[in-house]
Amino acid sequence: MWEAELPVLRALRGRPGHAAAPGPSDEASVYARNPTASPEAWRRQRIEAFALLDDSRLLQSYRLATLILRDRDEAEDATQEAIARAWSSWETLRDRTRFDAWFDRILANVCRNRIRHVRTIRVVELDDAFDFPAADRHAETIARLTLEPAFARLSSDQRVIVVLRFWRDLQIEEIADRLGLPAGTVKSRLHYALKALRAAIESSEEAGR
Amino acid sequence: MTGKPLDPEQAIRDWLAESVPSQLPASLKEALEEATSRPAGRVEPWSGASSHRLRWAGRVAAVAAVLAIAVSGLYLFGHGRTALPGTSPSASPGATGSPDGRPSPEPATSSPWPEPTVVALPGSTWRLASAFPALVAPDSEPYRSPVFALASGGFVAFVPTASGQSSAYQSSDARPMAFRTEGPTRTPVSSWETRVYGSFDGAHWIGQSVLPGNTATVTAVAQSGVGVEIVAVGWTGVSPNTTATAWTSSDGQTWSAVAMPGSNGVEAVGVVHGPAGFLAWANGPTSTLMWASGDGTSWRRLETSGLPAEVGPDCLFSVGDGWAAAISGDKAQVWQSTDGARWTLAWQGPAATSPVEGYYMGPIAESPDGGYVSFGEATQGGGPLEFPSDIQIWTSKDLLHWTRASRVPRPGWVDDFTAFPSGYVAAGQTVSQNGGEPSQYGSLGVWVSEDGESWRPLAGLPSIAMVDVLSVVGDGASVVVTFVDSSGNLQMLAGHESK
Repeated sequence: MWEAELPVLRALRGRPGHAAAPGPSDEASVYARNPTASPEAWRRQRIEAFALLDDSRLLQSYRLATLILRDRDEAEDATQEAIARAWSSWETLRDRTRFDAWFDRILANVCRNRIRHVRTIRVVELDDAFDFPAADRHAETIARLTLEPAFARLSSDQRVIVVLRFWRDLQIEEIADRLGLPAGTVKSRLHYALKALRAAIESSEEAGR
Repeated sequence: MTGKPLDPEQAIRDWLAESVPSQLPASLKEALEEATSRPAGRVEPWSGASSHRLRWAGRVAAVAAVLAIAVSGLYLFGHGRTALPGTSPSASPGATGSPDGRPSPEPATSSPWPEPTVVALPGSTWRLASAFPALVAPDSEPYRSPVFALASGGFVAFVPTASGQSSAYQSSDARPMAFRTEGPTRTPVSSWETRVYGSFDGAHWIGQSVLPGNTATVTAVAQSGVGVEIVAVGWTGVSPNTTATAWTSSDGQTWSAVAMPGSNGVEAVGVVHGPAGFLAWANGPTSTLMWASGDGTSWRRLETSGLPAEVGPDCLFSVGDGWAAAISGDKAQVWQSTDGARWTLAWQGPAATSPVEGYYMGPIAESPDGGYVSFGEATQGGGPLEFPSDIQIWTSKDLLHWTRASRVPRPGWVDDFTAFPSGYVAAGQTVSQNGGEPSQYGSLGVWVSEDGESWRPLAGLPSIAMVDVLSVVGDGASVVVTFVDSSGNLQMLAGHESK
């Protein structure tokens, strides 16, 4: 039933000018990782895994990239890149039940690389629906506007961790697992990032008084 | 405008929640359709966007530049193996120990050792060394600098490389890494050997041996000069299944390995030598872990107190009969200890003057006047960070107390600094403009300075794009800039003078 709904599955059946499915030589390489799986079973596993990337999941990934990169065009490119990498390196996913975390990790790494290499940070546009605050929210608004440059100064690793912690609500151990880092490293980076962001907020409060 | 103080964490949550996009771009569904129409196993991460094509152009330019240097090379270093600087030639390359200190039965390596080649930069005394084995980094780990300066002069390099097969270096998980290729099968590298090279000048490198223990990662080196001359620390295994390990050698060819006590799941990140012996440290999940040793071969775990629990030291120094630890952050700190166990705060840097103004310490080097200098960072005001932030120069006479000195513009995106006989060297990436837009990637940038304030590009440096600068280290006479391209190819640029 779900096959009819996803473009990815239509694509797997073949599109003009594109390879329809893994060729025998490619399959031979990936089957070699799991000799007990038949070619058909392997193909089905991959299809089922990428079926998780429905519109809702893609939007979540795009949002994650936007928050890390603070640039929607960059986030769009990063999400595209993550999709391509995930599909191409499917054989590197050892535990197929961890597809979701694995894709997050790829996306986070793509974002980190982009921050590191582009080294250009643009201020993200606020949603059109963003209402100008009432007077009693003045301090909060100033704090959030101050957060933008403070966040932009964080390292790429710090930004990824802040977003995973405070937007995804992941615990230290979960972030460490997703990023493949020791928990102590995640804790340390989050500590420094929070100190910087907290200083920005406190300073904005001082200015608002 | 009064009221209860904001909850910072809630403010961050609210700020993040406010700025998420509400709609999925149609291009992502198209990208998914296109990507999944390809067979697996072929990494084509750069297709479909103009910026990606620029990256490929950069890669081609980098290769062309290196080839041009090679073709017009003025000097090709000869073959042969000798001992590390300051030692005598003895055995042929071979692993001679295991992590428990016993001799290792397996052969050192069955794969060939590419001979590093050396070419002189046109019109310069600087030399570019290349053709090392491609650098291996396990999945999710960034490349680490394999090059360390020796206190006795000269350099040692610990190069992790996959052996015994032809390796196709690709990117997976968006990180440079090595795939092991055996016939049609391609799998991520999960094991590697770490080859040891020595050099007198940073340009001419000689293969020495292989570190005992599979999957060895070296992060720091110290030298006693007496008995055991070289102590390297790091870990074996892949995170989170790591064991902090120390390797020792007196000649660079015969190495012994010992696991640090109580170090399962731990990665040793630094080691320093002083009158009290060796002190190594690691960032533990709840505190900084430290080990002490008199000779580098026998270590004892220290129960530390005083240091911040949240973060570990950036670097440790031998000061007098004890130790000092520098910790960076929004306020730079230096902690001091006489025994490596009990630590007290010796100095704390000035606070930021505003939320968008901060002063950070950075790499520390000895200054020509006999003191010390740190090249840190002074952050700019708010807004887009399209240009490098300023260099904040700190000075110190004792390594313990620092003065915030000059603030000067950065010549480019500088990754590391070190001292040079006639001044200082910095390396990173150049900043260039392309039609008014900041370029996606810069070329390798190396800058020299007599005073640390006025920087100029290194003369004769070719355009080498798509690089990550891993370190800039100096032994007091020479400087080595170590960098790697996106395919994992390791190169070193060595110089002996700044003019």
